[in-house]
Amino acid sequence: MSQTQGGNSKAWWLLSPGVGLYILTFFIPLAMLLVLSFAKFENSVTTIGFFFDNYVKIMTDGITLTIFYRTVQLALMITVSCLVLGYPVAVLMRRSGPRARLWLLFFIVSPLLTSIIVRNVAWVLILGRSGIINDTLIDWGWISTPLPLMYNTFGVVLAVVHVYLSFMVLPLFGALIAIDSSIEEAASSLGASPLRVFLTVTLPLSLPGVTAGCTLVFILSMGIYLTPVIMGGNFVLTLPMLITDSVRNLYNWPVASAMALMLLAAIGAMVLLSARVQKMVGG
Amino acid sequence: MTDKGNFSSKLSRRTVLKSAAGAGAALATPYFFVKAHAASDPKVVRMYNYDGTLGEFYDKHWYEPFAEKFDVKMDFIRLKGSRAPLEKIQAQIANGQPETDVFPLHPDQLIFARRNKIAMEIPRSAIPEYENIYDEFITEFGPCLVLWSYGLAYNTELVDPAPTSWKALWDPKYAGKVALNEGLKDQTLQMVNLAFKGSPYPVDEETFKHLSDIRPHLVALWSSGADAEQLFRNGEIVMSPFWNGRVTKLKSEGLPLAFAVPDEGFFVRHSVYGVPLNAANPEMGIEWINFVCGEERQKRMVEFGYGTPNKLVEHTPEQAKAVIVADPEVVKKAVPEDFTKILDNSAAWTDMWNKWKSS
Repeated sequence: MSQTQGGNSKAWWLLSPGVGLYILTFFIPLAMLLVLSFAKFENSVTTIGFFFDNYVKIMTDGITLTIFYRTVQLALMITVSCLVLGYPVAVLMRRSGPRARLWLLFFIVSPLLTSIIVRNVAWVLILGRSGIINDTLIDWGWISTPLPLMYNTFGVVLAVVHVYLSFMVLPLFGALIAIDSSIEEAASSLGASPLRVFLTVTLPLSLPGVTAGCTLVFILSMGIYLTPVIMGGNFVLTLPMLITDSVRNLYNWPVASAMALMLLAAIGAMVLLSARVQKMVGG
Repeated sequence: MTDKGNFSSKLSRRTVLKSAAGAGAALATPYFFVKAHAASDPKVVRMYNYDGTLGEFYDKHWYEPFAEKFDVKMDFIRLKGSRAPLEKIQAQIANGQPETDVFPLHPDQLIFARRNKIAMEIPRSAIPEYENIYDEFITEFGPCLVLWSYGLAYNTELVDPAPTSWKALWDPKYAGKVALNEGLKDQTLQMVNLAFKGSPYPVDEETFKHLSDIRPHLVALWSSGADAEQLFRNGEIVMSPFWNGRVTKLKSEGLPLAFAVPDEGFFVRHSVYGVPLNAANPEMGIEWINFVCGEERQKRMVEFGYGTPNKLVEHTPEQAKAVIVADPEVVKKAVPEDFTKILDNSAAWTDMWNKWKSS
């Protein structure tokens, strides 16, 4: 018994670096964030205390909540776009041979291998007023003035979907590859059309992957900052942009902390919802 | 007792806390070592530097000659944008030591630094070169250097006639080809007021009404000088409020750009170079400030395209045209900005700005 206990004790020590790292980099900053969110910022000076001013400001200033809702809206648009574009890719990957699958995987993951700045500048060259698309369409005489392809919500969604698609495709592919193909074959042999097989067998069985992918993409999208700045021309506002502005230009850590906790609460709610859905779909 | 039971019995709060404390101490040790090391090395001077050609200029003319003269090593931290991260520096000072020995402060940041006591007061006697600096460019925290002017940058091939007023941005002829500055939105708001009210203040509903009028004309709201440069390079815009130094740089790259000083007035700003409180090497920080105040270093800055407060620096006609503010008399003609008002109203103005953007 003592040997087993000793072994387990060592096992706990093995966990300690991870636990320590979490405490240092997550729980302590989170506690500081909580304390700061109740501080007061007046005449450029922060006073620690227990004030509700920051939360009152968020609820009543008539802009923070609007931007929060828009951030959620934007995250949902990105999530749905990733799902719609990613599902067929995941199905294709499942049906492909190992070599083609590897190429598809590389193709999907490749945006993650480039820096965010390089990616966004590349989009400017493609979607800009004098970009490849607008120049070509004008040269062909199809349009006379450039199309507004960027510096708006469309540009932001496109650039973010390009990167986050992989976070949707990989869980989807994992769920699809786990489906026993003999179940689909049995449905087909009993006379079900391909569409019926998909709707009644493949799609329900892949729902854990859908939930995981949607959760990942939604959470990541709630935190986007640089892409809306570059691709949205600063017109597409997100809560992370507001938080950054509060800290960087207004030096108002207390209100930024309150906003950050609000964002964290929204993401936490999403995770809880996702866990509930996973339980329902049997993931 | 099962193995599982044994394992669970070890899941005590004490074990977990002991493990976490041990890990925390192990992780924190290198940090304190590095911090202590930095504090104790008088041969290392830590500085901020900019991206792009301004950063290259600092390297070549302000940092390398200093390192050579005083036999020190210069460590750099690249700035994102043109402003020192005061929020970070303030937190660093509160927790021990700032990451650099010198920091550039925009005029509104100077007031913030004063209120929060995050900069060292430098006595005049500590900087002998002050002798050649105009009085109005000396503060208790350091000298005002790198004088830059804010006017209208325009494409000389596509904007005709040359703009003489800020209102040119509202000209329907240039709809869809102009941009505004989001990075220093206070300057944008003052510019709008200057164009339509003749005075930079107050920022009110009327200011935003004029911004709404220009909204359909705007390609983007740029956040940094580099963003605006890219918009000009890509041909996305033909006109924008901009800084003279950036225009000089783009012209040197062959872009058909010019800088116009609008009839309603232009803005002049600078950076106060100071030493943050608790800096690791304040002596060398002050030595560096004295070094760059000198005639030779300031001459180089004028050649690069920014103004100087040094009395000894003479300008060629081309240089005077490029730096705009070739003597203090020209600086006096700039629109007077109330930086206390700017700092104290920035939160309210930001809310109004965001509402306008979201409308």
